[in-house]
Amino acid sequence: MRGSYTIIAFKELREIVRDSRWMILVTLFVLFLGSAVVLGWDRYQRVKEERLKATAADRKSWVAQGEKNPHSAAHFGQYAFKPIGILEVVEPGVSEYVGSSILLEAHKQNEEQGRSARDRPMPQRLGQWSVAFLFQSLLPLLAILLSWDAITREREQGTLNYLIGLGVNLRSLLVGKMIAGFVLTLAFLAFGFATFTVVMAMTQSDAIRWDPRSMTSLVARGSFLLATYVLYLVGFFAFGLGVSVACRSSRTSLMILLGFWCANCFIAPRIASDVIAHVDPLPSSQAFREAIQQDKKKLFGHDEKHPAFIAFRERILKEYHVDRIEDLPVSFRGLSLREDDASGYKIFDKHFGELQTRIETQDRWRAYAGVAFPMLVVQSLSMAFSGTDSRHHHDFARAAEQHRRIIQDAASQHLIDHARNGDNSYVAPRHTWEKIPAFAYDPPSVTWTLRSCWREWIVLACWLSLCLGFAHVMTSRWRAKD
Amino acid sequence: MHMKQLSRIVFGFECRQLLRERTLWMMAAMMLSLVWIAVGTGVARTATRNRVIAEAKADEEQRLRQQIQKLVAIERGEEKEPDAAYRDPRNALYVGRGSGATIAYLPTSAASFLSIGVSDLYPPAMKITTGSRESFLFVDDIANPLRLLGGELDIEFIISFFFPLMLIAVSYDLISVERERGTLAMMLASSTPWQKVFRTKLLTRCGLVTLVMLVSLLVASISMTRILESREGIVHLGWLVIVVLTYGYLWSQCILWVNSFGKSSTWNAMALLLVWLCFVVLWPIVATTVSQVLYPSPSRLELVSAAREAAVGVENDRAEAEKTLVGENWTLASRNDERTQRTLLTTLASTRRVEALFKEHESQLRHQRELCYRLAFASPSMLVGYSISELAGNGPSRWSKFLAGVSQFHEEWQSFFVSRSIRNEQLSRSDYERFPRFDANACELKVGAGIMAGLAGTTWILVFSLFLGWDALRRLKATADGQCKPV
Repeated sequence: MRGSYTIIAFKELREIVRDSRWMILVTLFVLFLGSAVVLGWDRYQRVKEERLKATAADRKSWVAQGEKNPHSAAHFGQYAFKPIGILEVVEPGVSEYVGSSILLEAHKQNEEQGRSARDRPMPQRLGQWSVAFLFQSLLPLLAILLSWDAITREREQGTLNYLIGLGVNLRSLLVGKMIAGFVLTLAFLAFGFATFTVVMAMTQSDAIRWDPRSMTSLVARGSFLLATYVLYLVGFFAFGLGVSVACRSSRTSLMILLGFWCANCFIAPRIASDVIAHVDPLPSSQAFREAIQQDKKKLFGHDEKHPAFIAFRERILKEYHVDRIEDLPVSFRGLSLREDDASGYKIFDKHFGELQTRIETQDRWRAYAGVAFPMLVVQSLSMAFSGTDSRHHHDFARAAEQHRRIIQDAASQHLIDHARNGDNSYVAPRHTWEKIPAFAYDPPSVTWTLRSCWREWIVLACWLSLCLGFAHVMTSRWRAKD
Repeated sequence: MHMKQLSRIVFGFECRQLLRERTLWMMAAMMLSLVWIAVGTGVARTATRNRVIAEAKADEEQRLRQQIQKLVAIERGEEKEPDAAYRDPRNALYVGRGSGATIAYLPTSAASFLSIGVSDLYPPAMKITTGSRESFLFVDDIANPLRLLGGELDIEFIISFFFPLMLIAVSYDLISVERERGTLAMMLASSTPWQKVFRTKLLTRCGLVTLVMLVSLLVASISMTRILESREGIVHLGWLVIVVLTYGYLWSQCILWVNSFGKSSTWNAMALLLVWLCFVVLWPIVATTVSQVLYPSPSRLELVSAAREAAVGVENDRAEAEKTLVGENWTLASRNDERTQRTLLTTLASTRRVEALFKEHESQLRHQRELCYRLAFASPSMLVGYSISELAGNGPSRWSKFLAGVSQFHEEWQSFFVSRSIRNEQLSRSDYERFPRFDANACELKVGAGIMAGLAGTTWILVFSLFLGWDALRRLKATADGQCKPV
């Protein structure tokens, strides 16, 4: 009876096409998708332009500093602006809830600043109008509407026994209906991605570097994104059909499935975040800065009376075989700044590393709850492949910090090489600032993303297996009963 | 049959029917648990906020104490003159910029646990300095971005999102079930006043859910918080009850209205869920998106770049900066050391550049918020969300007033220190006692302002409910007349 799958699937699809209610729903959904792509694209262009402008303005300010003491220039610092990725059109992720810029200044690693979510009339906690929101929240609803009465309706209309009597087994019926529903939702997924590609091509976007490496990365990320949603929706279909087999009436089936949809899309994300934040709370900025400050007390900074400073001075004098700082062939101020910075790097690495690990662990625990509520793991994977999750933002922050160190080290080295001891009025020539590069960020590869989210794939696979298993068990039981 | 007796019979019958439904028991248990979790989370959130504010206050006190001790020691000659201007506790500019910086915070209200509103997007305490506004206004507190994105489980969410679902679940088949059982025709043919029967049925079903919601909310609030200890708390709790009753009434009338179309129970369930989806999920997203598209927020990065350009401008054309920014007072300021002079000019230049952009930024955001609020009148759930977040003191009105207060205070703070720096006046011990202090009460909304903020919305919901109820009865009457007509 292998052919019966396709016959049932075609029959279901034909019914859907003929049903005007479904056509209205499909039209609405297509309109939603189209508007989400266009709005996402508009936002992408605006943000990209803002950041490019800000990057150029910051570089201009940095280069235009004129003759200046290199350490003062390091205090003035540079800004690192996070470039926006093309897949943010599909999935904005947490981008609006993390800052987009970091001030890279002397002695201090700063956090990202300026959450653009503050500029919203009301925070959109139920979701942002995006392709990802439609795929994560509304497409499962469509899957439910396609599956809730798949079996119960046949039973209520009295056609189920007739079909069984004709030799169609329940599993074939179930698989056929699943294929039909799945083809329809797959069409939506394909439409979403196709609209995105068409918009990109029509606007002749310069956002995409058309070299093979970038294209491969984009295609790979897009494919993984698609695979995530496919697994998510297959699970929903299987669960919906399983419930439809298990329930005696369409009404009960609908109630259970809608209850699950609500819990999955809107309640579970909140409860999971609250519970995790309660079990492993993050420090306040005040406490975080205080902890860094405590550790930094061991460093001398600009304090020349600090025991660490005195010890360092003695070590340098011994190293250069001189008795006085004035006799050193290099600038002692430059050396001391470099030493202090290098010790500070370890402190920042420790504290920021711990904080980032805690946030990532929180996110991972949240994703584990995806075994029961798949939205949690799908959201995590979707953001990971779009480069808009916390891990990608942390990667940006780490890259920015590395650049800060380049600036600090370059400024200190300039002092070491050019300033004279005892002369505090030294200023570096204008062209010095041009030699210090601007911040350039290369986002992580798709392999990096895959390596960092393999656990989430297992969770998603578990959810899918549970749903398929549930549908299988329900079908077997029903058959045994009848 | 006497009307009261009929109501009692219908009420008893409906109660028995509801009590027999296992799914409803489960949903009621879920609602109770969610209310308790939400109140508990709200209480914990408020406590954390208060703790962070207390820590920031303690830090400020400690910093000032240290500065005063240092100043006294220098004055007495017990400590050497500081080797850098920024370490000098008498240097007005640097004290106002760092070591003496004060904090501004919005106190948590008695009903703060009800809704997180916009409060998690801002740090609990802002450190006000003499620097330009963006230097402290754009600072964020540490938070998991994913938690900010999804929001927290608060009472506002449970009432606006979950409560209507419960009402729909118990009464979507209010009239259709009678038709499907074949009892509707019997009822219409008999002398039983059907309007009274349906009204009692609706009141029993929706009333019980509302009662469970209110009782659990009140018991949880009273037992876990100190809301009854202040007048404001009692008033706000009372208003919350009114908001819940109004919202419940709206949904009950909506259910009656959908039932009045005379379709099947499944159709009713689907239609009601579609209405719920539009009101609760889609329209809030559409409203915020539309207001953002029509009034796009100006770039924050532009403000940051402007401040930096101004700073570089001062360094590159010092003479021009002196002339335009300080003018004739500069002769006095010139006695300042080189570093202080430069910082002073940079501060003045950045402030001047940034303030103009801030005005544009704030005006655009105001337009956005106004439009979004107007669009909220198309979604009762949004209006209820607004009302509850305003009651909790975490709504956009109170925060906007606070931020405006902070901006005003920043001017005062800057003027206190910058004017002294321009005059090259050193700070004395008595000056430390005269430092401006942010008065949070001055930006506080009056008791009842939270209610006023949601009054228009609640009234509109009531009017809309009355219309739905009237239209539903009109339709039902027409159906009943049609059914009773001899064929």
